[in-house]
Amino acid sequence: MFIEVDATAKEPLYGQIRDQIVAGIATGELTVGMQLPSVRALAADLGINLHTVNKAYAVLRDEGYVRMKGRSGAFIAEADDGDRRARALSAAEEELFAAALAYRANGGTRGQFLEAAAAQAARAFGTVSTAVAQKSDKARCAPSPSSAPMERSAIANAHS
Amino acid sequence: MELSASTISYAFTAMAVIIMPLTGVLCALLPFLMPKRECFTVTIPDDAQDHPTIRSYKRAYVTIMLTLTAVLTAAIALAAILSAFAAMIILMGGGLFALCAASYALMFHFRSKVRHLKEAEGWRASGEKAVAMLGDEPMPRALSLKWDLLFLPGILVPLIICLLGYGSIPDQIPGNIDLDGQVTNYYSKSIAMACFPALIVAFVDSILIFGHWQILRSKKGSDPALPAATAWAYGRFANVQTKLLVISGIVLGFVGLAMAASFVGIISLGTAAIICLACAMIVAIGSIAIAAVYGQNGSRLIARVSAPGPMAVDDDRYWKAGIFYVNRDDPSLFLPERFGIGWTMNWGRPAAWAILFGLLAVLTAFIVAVFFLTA
Repeated sequence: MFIEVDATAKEPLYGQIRDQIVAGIATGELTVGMQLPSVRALAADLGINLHTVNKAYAVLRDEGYVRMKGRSGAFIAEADDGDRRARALSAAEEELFAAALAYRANGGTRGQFLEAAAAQAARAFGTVSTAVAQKSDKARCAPSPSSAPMERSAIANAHS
Repeated sequence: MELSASTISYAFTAMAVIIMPLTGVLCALLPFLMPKRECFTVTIPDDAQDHPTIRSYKRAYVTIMLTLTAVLTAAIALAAILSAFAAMIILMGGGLFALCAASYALMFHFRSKVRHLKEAEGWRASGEKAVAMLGDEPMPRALSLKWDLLFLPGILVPLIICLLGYGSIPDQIPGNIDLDGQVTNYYSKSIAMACFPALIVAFVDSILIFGHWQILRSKKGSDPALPAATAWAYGRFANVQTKLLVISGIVLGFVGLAMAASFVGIISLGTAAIICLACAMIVAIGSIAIAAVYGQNGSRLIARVSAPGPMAVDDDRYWKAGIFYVNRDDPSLFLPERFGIGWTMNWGRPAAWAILFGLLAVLTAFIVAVFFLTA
C-alpha cells in the first residue's frame, strides 16, 4: 500500500502516517507480521524529518498496532490483549462522540450524522461505494490494482 | 596476436563516430526523458506538457542540440577521412564537453522561460504531498549489493595471470600506444606493476559499488499524483540501472584481463587496446540505450499516463539552479536528479559534502599512486 502525507494539511504529519497505517491494518493491506520500512527509509521517501516518523511509530507502538524488534525494525503486531483492545475501542468511541458534537455544533441533525456515520463505516468495513472511494483521499493514497485502472493500464501497456 | 596500426585507428575512429552522435541525440532528447511533472527542472502540471509554449521551447532545444551534434559528428568524420587522428582525439574530448555544456546552457535558458510561464499561468501545487510504499507490494526493485560479488573474478584473474606469469613479463612493459600502433611509453617491471591491472579494475569496481549503494539508499522517484505507476516505473528504472552497473563491472573485468594478458605477452598491447575500446563501447552504448528507453525514473515506461489537475507538490525551491538539491529537513542523502539520467545528492546534508571530498581525496590518492607506480 501507499501512504501519502501533505505538509500543508491541518493534521500533523505523524498523525497522518499513524492514521493511514491503522487504516491499512483495518482494510487488510497491512497484515500481522508485515515489516514496515525503517524510520530512515520512510523519512527519506517522504522527505520529512526522522523524528516525525519516529513519533508516528512510537504512537503506533503505544497503541498496540506495531511491535519494535530491536534492529529489525517495526512489524505489524497481532491483535492485542483484551484490555488494550477495550481501551482502544473506548478511545475510538470517545472520538466518535467528539465528531457527533462537532456535527451537531455545525447544524447537523442526528439523522444526518447517523447517515454519514453509516457511510464511513461502510468505507472502513469494506463495502465502499464508487462515489465514496472517488472522494476519499486515502483510497487515492493506497491504490490497489482494482482501484487504479489508469495506472494498471499504463503498466500493462508498458509490458506489452 | 599482433594487430596492424590501421586496425587500431579504425577501432578508435568507429568509436568516435558512433559515440558522438549517440551522446548528442541523448542530450537532445533529455527534455522528453524527464518525468512529465518537470520541464527544464521546473515543476509543472502534467497536462502543461501540451502547452504550445512548452512544446516550442522543447522543439527549440532539440533543434539546437541536434545541429551541434551534426556539426561535431561531421567534423570527426572529416578528421577520420583525412587521417588527422590528433584532431579527432581533440574533437572527441572537446565535442563531448561541448555537448554537455550546451545542454546545460540551454536548460538554464529555457528554465527561466518556463518559470515565467508558470507564474503567468498560475500553476500552483494543491499541497505539499509525498508518498511512500509500505508492505510487500510486488514492485520491481534495484538489485542487491550481493550481485557485485561478480566483480571478484575480474580482479582476481588478472592478478593471478600477472603473478603466475611474472617471469614472462618483460623488464620494460609497453604502457601506452598511439593510433599508429607505436608504443609511446614503457613501465618498469615490478611486483606492484604486475598488480596494476587488478588495481585499476578494483578501483573502478569500488566506484561502481558506491554507485550501486547510492541507488539502493536513494529516495524513490514517486509522484503523489500517480503513486503506484511511478513507484513501478522507478523500480524498473532502478532495477535496470543496477543491472547495468553489474554488467559494467563484469565487462571491466575483461579490460583487466586484456591488460594482464598483454603484460605477460599472450596478446599485444594493440590487441589489448582494441578489447578495452570494445568494452568501453559496450558500456557506453548500453547506458545510452537504457537512458533513451526508460527515461529518468522510468518516465518513458508510463509516458501515456498523466494526472490532470494541479500539481501535488512543488519542490522547486529546494532545487538551486534547477540541478542542486538543498533541503536540510530532508533526511535522504541521494535522490533522482532533475536534469539528466541518474542520481544526485542532497547538498543540505553535511554527509553529502563529506562524500564529495572523500571521493575527491580517494581519486587524488589513486592518481598519485598510479603516477609513482608508472614513473
